[in-house]
Amino acid sequence: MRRRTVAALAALLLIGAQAARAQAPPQRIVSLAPSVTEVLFAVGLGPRVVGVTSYCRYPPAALALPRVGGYLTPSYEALLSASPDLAVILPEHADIAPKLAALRIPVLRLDHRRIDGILEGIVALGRRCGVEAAALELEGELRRRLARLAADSPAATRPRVLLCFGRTDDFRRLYASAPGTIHDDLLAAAGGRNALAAGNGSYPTLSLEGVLRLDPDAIVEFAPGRGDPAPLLRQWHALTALRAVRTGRVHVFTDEFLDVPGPRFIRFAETLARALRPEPAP
Amino acid sequence: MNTGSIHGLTAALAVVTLAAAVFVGPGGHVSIHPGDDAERRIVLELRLPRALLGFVAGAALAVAGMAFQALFRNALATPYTTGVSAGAALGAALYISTGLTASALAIPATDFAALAGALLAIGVVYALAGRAGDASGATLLLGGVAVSFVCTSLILVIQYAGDVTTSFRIGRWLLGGVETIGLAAVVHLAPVVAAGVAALCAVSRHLDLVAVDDEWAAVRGVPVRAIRRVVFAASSLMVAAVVATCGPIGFVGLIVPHIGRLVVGPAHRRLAPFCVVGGGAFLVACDAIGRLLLAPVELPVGIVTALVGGPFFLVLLRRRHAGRPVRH
Repeated sequence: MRRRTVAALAALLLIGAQAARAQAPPQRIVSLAPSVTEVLFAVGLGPRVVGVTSYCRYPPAALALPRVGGYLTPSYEALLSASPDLAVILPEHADIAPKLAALRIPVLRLDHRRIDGILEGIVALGRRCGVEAAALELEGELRRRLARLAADSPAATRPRVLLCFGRTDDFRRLYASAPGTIHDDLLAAAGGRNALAAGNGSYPTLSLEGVLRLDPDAIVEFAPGRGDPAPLLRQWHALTALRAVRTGRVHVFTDEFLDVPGPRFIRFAETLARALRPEPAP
Repeated sequence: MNTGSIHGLTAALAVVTLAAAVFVGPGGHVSIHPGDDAERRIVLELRLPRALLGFVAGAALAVAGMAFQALFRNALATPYTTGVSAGAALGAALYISTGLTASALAIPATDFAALAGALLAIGVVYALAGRAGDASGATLLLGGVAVSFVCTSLILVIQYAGDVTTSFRIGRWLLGGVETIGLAAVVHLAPVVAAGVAALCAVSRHLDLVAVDDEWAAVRGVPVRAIRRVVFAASSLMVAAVVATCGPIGFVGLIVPHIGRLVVGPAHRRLAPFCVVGGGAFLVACDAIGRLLLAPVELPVGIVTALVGGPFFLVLLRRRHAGRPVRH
């Protein structure tokens, strides 16, 4: 009986100690997504990061950190070796979270699927890691820049935009970003509205016929990592049946940061806004 | 070399493979006496359960592949021929598309959904074959292929209509894998596989005759219908449990039985034990390669099984059976 009481007390103490440890600001943080790594560094938590994925390439300091596997395929051995006291994950890691719990690695889940999620995640991360002031400052700065973008794009002039996220060279298939995605959020922030209606999936595939039928006011193609955008632009210029081509409102962007929904989303939105802004009347 | 020596050698190789998979880490680092707590946890909580799960899954897939190849008299039959893998994948995809994450008895709910999908697919195919009065297994085979196509199309619809998170999660599930934490998955899967393997080993003597011709087997006193039912039920249920736990891992169930036929001959009572030990060791070895090759990035085991097993099988085929077709 006495032994049992002692064991129960010991267990309680252990749970108490674990709870206390869970609440103390983490000192060894592992990031399981490139966008999470960007947020960690942006709020000044870089020195506490002890592991990132093999896709985390920004900021450059992240390149020197130990890798803990792929984005959806972490190596649990590498994770345990890093001895983290916090793993920061996304909803895409829903099947990985129970395994992290089984390894007794505390988890913080951020949601980078929408702009609001990114902003809320910055604050949540700051609170959990004891850098709330820096997180609130970053969040405030991003919100101010978003507000500036909104002020610069009056509702009456919002063009209908097709957001292209990849295609075959001959336009047989084109992948577009539909309402409900982060890219649609960014388009709205940049002063455009999606040429696609909601309800056909997040990233529907269009044929050339579909693109011609949509005949958007402007077309924005994102091709991160493709280098010179000129060849892609020339392919669009052959499609003179499209209003956007005739009016010179096709824009191709190849910057690497475009496919990481981290704090640099604001650069994405600002780049988009500059492209979509109507030309001043001559 | 006689069959006994070959079985002994295979068993010895399996033991060495298991030991290597448990103790060897990235960069060839061996952890027989783990130095720190993290290393001890890696060996006991990750590598040991992972190697055991790989062995159990590999053994089950190889024996089921062997049984289906005999049952359908088709060298290309796999454990997934009856639609069990596609059914499981559809179950998992449907569950993932709900966006829920739950678990019971330390088993993720995705596994239950996959198991339900697999059992449903088996049920549909079996009912179809029963109604057609299928004796040769042709309806089972075609029904399995049709169910697989339908399930795969539905998965594509779910992926297409779903958001990025859903697509990512389904894509990851479809890659399969034996990485696990703790022994729960092994404890749940091992009894099912043990029962399935025991049933198939028990009827393995009759499989030799069934693999040739039903009438021929019946004349020699083989209860063909009963044997067919036992083989179908034992293989399908065992594979359903494996796919629900590990996802669809390809190639093991197709190639290991053929390697076995080249090494120990086509007699099923010798082939079945070879498949258990060889299939288990093969999957453990492939998983260890996938874990170590690009560490810490891990190659899904299904990719490695084809990359390692394919050339190995071709070499064996060229050496042993130059000009002769593979018998099943």
